[in-house]
Amino acid sequence: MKLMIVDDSNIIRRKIERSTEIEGLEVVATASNGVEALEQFPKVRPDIVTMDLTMPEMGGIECVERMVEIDPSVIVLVVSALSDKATAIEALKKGANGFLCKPFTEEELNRAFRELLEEASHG
Amino acid sequence: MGAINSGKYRAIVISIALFIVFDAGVLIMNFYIANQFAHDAVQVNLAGRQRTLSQRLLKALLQTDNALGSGNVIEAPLNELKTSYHTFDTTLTAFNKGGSVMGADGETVTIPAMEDPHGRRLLTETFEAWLPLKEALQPILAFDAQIELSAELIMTDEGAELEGDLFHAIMTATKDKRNARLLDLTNSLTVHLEYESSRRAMRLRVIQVTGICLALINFFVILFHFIRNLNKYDAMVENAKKETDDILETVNEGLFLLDSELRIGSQHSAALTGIFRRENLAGVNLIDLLRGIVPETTLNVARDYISLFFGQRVNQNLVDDLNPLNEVEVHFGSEGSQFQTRFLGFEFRRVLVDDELSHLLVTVNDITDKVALERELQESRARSTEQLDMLMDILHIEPEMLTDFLCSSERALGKINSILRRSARGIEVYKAKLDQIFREVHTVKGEASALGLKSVQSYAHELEDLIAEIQERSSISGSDFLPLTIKLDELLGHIQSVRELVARLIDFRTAFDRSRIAEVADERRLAPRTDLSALLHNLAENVAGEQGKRVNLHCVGLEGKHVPEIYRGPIKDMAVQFIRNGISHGIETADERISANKGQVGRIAMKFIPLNGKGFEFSYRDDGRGLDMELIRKTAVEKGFVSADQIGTMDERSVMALIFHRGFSTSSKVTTDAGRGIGMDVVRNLVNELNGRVRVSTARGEFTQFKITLPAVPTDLDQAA
Amino acid sequence: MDETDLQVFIQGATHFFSHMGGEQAQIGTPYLASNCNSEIKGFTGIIGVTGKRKGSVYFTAPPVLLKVLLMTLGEDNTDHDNMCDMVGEVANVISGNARKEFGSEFLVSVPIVVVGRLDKIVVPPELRSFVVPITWKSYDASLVIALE
Repeated sequence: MKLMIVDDSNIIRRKIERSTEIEGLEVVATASNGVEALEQFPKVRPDIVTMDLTMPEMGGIECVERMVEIDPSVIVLVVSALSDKATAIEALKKGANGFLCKPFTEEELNRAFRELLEEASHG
Repeated sequence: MGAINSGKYRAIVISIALFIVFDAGVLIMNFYIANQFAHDAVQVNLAGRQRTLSQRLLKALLQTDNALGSGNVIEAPLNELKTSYHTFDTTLTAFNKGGSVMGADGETVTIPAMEDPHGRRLLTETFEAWLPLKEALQPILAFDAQIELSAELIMTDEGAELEGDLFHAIMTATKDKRNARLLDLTNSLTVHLEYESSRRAMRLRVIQVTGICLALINFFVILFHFIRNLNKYDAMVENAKKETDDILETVNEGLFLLDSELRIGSQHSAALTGIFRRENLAGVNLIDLLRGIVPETTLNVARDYISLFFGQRVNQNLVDDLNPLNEVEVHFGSEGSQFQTRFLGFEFRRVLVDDELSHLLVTVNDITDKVALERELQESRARSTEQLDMLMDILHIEPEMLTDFLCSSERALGKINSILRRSARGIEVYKAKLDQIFREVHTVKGEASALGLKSVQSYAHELEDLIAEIQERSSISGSDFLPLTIKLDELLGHIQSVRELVARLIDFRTAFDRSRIAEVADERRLAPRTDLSALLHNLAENVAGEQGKRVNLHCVGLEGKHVPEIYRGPIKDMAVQFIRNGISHGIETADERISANKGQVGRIAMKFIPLNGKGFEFSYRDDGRGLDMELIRKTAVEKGFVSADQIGTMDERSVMALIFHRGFSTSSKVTTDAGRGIGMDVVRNLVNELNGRVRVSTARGEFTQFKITLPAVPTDLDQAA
Repeated sequence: MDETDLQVFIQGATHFFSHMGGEQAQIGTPYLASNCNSEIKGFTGIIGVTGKRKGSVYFTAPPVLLKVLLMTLGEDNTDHDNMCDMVGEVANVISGNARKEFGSEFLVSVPIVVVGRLDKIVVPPELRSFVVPITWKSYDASLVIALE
């Protein structure tokens, strides 16, 4: 399983990278904005993407939409603060699969990954 | 579910198959019987014909003979004889061996050989009776003369021969009652056939009735089975429904199913109507239901959120955080003009039937109490932080002084409110109001600062800022006072909360007072109860601390009961102003003092001395830089209190008096302690109110001194106070 | 208490007088009152408010003001019922304005009219109300805002 991390915060990127404990889930790419993420996306073809919503260049919502267009089987976990529920819901409407609220604990992150992978394996 | 169905259906399928088989059997039987009846009827008819034929044969024989004898034409009877003979013989043969026969209606029918023994015996007997006659008839049948008249025929040889043959045949027929026997036999055959036919019909009918009975029984079995199963199923459904109903009836939560159109399903828990205060919720669109009681923006987000569940992609366990309805405030309009506010919590879960999403199960709870509790907790947490800060301020203040302060500031704020309340019009009146309010606020601020109540002090300071801001405006209207009133409300609220805190502290102390340790301390605490000097020391320390200066305050006659009750308030107010102004303007910083060859610590002395029955003298003196006459002159001109021309003509005393002018301040920056230019104004007003006099003396770089003389207090007034 | 929130209610009242009353109403200096009833002037229109803040807003006026107001509007019949309607109408304009200004932040009810003292005051006793004196053609009315 390939994981891609999209977040403009270096700290969050590293936190996700460090916290991922799912066996077989491997970080293959990180990006700090939507444009960068979409550049890498077709090359690395990740199975799961963690997506920040408010980023420079291209925001998370548009990025999610484009990714799902390219690969409808991609799993997107929105990782964002609760301050704007409506934006997060918008991202889910565009095809994201789940939402993880910032700040999150290691446990919460891994639980989210497990949930998503389990659902994916059930089809 | 599937297993139960196939079992149930197998029985039904078998039953129905049997029913069809029985019905088909009866049907085939019917067909067969009908066929058999036709056959039997043919045979009976043929047998009956045989009987007739046997007689007709004899009759034709006799007629032929008669016709021959009487000279008539014999063709007709002879032909009749031939036909009868032929038909009889073929039919008999057919009965015997099976074969085709001309039927009564001229059609050829095929009959089978007779099989049963009685029939065969009858046939054999018939043959026995028939064969001699058949023999005897052969020559007659062979006769074929083309003679028209029998009269002529009888005359011929052929005729004579025929006559002989006829006679022989008649003899054969009548001999041994052969003819009667034939009739008997054919009759018996007919009867036998009829009997056989009816017997067979009876048997077939029995079979048919049995078939019908079986079919009927089967039908009833099916019916019974069906009804029993239906009843059982109904009971099961009924039971299940009752269970569901019981659950829906008793559960405290609002439970319902939501379809993809966001409509509420037909079943919902009874609690739901209570939660929404509405009947007939089935089929109602959830969004419509919430419209009007939930803000529109929330509704739009909610609609989007719920729609996510009907999509394929979203993992329902990972979006709970986003639920805009997990704690939503709803407002129910009720009787009168009041709204009822409740908090509702919604939860959404997908309901899958055969792995396909059919509905969302929605749980609603009235979480008003929970939310209220949480908020209360939060508020009380915030309050306790605020109170802790306040507590730190309050703890080192004497309770009586604090209570005094609270009372006097509430009085002052009440006074401000009545100033606001007084109806007024016009900018001048408004400005006067602002001035009056300012003085009250300033007093409160001074006292708060003296006590070290920073929170009250900063509220009062904000109020002063607001007043100053309104003062600057070129036109003032009533609504400009609004922020002031709001701030006043806040300050009142704040003082109230200080009061609450004090009350709690008093409770606390009362608890401690009961203990013995407290008793010892009590003695010491009694003394400074009315001690103004403690308050002033406190203030001096606070103000000096804030300004980075050091001060030593010396008080005489201000402790204990030396100050008459009636003067206590004003003396306190004046002392506060003197100290604040003195430290702000008079006392220099430690560095300045060192370079001026003074001690690092500034000195302030305050005295309250009785003047041999002629009243009192209240004095203030500091060893600071003294009043700066030039600065006073400059400031007075700048603020427009006096013109530049006037100032030149004024003597030193008049210049010094300018500091008592309202709005005068030489301080360039506004702090809570100085710079408002109001302090000395308060002093002057108080002195005037008390009919006292104030004198100022100063020496540049050395000291500033205020001496206030106050009239004696009438003894009874003092007592009364 | 938020100043702009209060201003919305005050504007509603002044708006009414400047549009309907033919003469601008003057706003006096607002003050605090701990007892709403002491501010009541005879006829009162009450608006319930909930949402960001909860409580009531009262527009209260003496009969004389209402009579003059009715006459200004061309209504010669100044009986009790018409005065009730009049005070209710002012409250209506205030609540309508509030509804427009606040949007979904506040919910503002349809006003009810009370004559004389208010028996059912749902304001908590420790809450101070803001009283805004309104003077129109030398008659005094008040807007009492009691919000938590």
